[in-house]
Amino acid sequence: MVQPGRPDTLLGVMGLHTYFYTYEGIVKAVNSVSFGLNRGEITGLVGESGSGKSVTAQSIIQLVKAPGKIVSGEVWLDGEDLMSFSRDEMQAVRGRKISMIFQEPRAALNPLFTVGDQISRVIQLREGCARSIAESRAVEMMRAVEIADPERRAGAYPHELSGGMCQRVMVAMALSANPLLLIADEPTTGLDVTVQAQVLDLIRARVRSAGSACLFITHDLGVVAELCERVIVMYAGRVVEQGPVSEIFARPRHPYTQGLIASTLRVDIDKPISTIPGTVPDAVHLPSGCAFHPRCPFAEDLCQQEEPPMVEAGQDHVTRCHIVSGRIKKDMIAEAWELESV
Amino acid sequence: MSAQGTPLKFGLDTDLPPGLQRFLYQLRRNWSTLIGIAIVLFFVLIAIFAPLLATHDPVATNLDEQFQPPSSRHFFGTDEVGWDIYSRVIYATRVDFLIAIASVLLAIAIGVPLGGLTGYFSGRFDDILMRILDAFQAFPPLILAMAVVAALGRSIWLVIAVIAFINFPSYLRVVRAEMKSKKESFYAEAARSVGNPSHRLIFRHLIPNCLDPVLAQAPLNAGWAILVAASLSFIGLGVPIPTPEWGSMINDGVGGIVSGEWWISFFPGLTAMLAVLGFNLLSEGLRDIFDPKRMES
Repeated sequence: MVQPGRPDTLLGVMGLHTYFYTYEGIVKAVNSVSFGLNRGEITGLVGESGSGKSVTAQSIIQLVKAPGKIVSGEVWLDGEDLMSFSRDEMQAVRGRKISMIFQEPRAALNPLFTVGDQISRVIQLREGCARSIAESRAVEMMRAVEIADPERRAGAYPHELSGGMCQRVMVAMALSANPLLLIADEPTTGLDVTVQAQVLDLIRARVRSAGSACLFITHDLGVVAELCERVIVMYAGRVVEQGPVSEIFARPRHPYTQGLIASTLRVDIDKPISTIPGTVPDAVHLPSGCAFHPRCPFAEDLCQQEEPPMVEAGQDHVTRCHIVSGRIKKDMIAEAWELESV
Repeated sequence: MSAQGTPLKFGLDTDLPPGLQRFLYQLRRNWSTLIGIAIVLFFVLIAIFAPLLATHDPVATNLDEQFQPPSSRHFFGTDEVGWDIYSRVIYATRVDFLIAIASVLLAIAIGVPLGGLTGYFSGRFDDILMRILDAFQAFPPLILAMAVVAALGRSIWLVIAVIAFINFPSYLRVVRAEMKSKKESFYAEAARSVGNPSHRLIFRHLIPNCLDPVLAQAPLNAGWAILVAASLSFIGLGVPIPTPEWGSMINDGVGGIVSGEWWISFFPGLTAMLAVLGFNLLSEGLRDIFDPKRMES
């Protein structure tokens, strides 16, 4: 596991537990999650819907919606323990040290303010500079994210712009704060492929040049392979595997990761897409032992009884699986997934 | 649509800003709104230019000219103390519009922030406040108004305050309902995530987004305020005599209706009706403009 003391680690999350106290019972949306984000790197956070990706992000900026609560855990940003911060101190962190890009860009912009206004407000908030300076900086930012004719577009309201344009505005807004950490929550959902590529390029360029870190939440493994240095795979609130992208895509060790990779669309191989059988488990009544065992083609009795611990699976590569740890003697054959194919 | 492929300018010759153009375009499609605006504007002009329009001093009695029927000298006739009905109807516009507009503004000033806050924070405070309002609104509003005015005395300002007090719960409710949905919106979350404190989020980002139904409701309430003011005056609890006011003028003429002097009540009644109609049409139109889903044809 990445230690928070490592010099290039910007964000360290350790033992994070975020639970939702619902009528049906406690939902452990984030269950003992630990990871680190390095400067200048983009880390992908992948998993199916409901696996706890977005709640992890909300927990980092401490904006978990009721009835959710951060139960325990540490979040270190640039050597500071965010969990010890007061509400006001945390407010100062948001938008200055940590910025977010949301999915559904048009819905994330206030319909009553022009986009230029919204960007310049963020700049004003951070820099405390004069309105006119913030406004001209906003136009510069819009030019930087390749919005054509930014002077005119700054005066436009969100409904007057296309979805891709709005997303670039969101990116401009998030980046104009020069954040240490950029959290992008499925920022390319619903965008054209061409626009998607532009937005990704922008994020990558800014993260590299500014030496900030980026947590990129997505369910698109193709984007992760293309954009990220590291990847974290979540399942039912737990990190099941994490490591460098090159390593994980070449040698996925957790059956779930293998299933995810096997179920991505490949144009170069002429065969049907395989699927992972079953669905994400009910969040209140998680399966015993390894939460993935009902869907796992390799599951044994032990998987039902005991939750697997996080173990080394390679260079800088960890996973939770009894087979990898050697508790179960078995060969995981990648072909197992193709047998499940539709 | 325009014939020769020229860009559609909503049929207007225009260098106007696009927002205004759109507004004008929608007005043209909606004759009832146009009439509503025309009526309300007409009354506003009357109120402003009352001294120029009036032919007589509205409070100068003239016992030589009692019960005169409408004529070229007294357009709407005179009453039992020789007051010129026409001049009094003109001056009453000032009083009644002051009541209508001030009471609505006061109701908005109380109801909107309170509705925004209670809608945003929900919880115990919201529950208690709403139950109090339920109890309060279960009481007949006119009787409440009568009781307050009867207890505290008659003055324009008290009438304004009472009407605003009766009206503010309706603003509170609509803003609260809007706030409950808007606070879950992505832009609220986005605003929170860039470090906006709650008060800034509520008052700068969310409340302005909750105002559409308020704008549609305001003229309706203004019309209703005129009716309440007139009703209070009619039963002798509103604006004190001799200040000209439509309701008290109708009251003055009640006896005359039986004995044939119909004009004393008729003209102030007609004027009040026209003013209320104007506000109602305006409200209807604004609702259509702010909510295109409800617009017919």
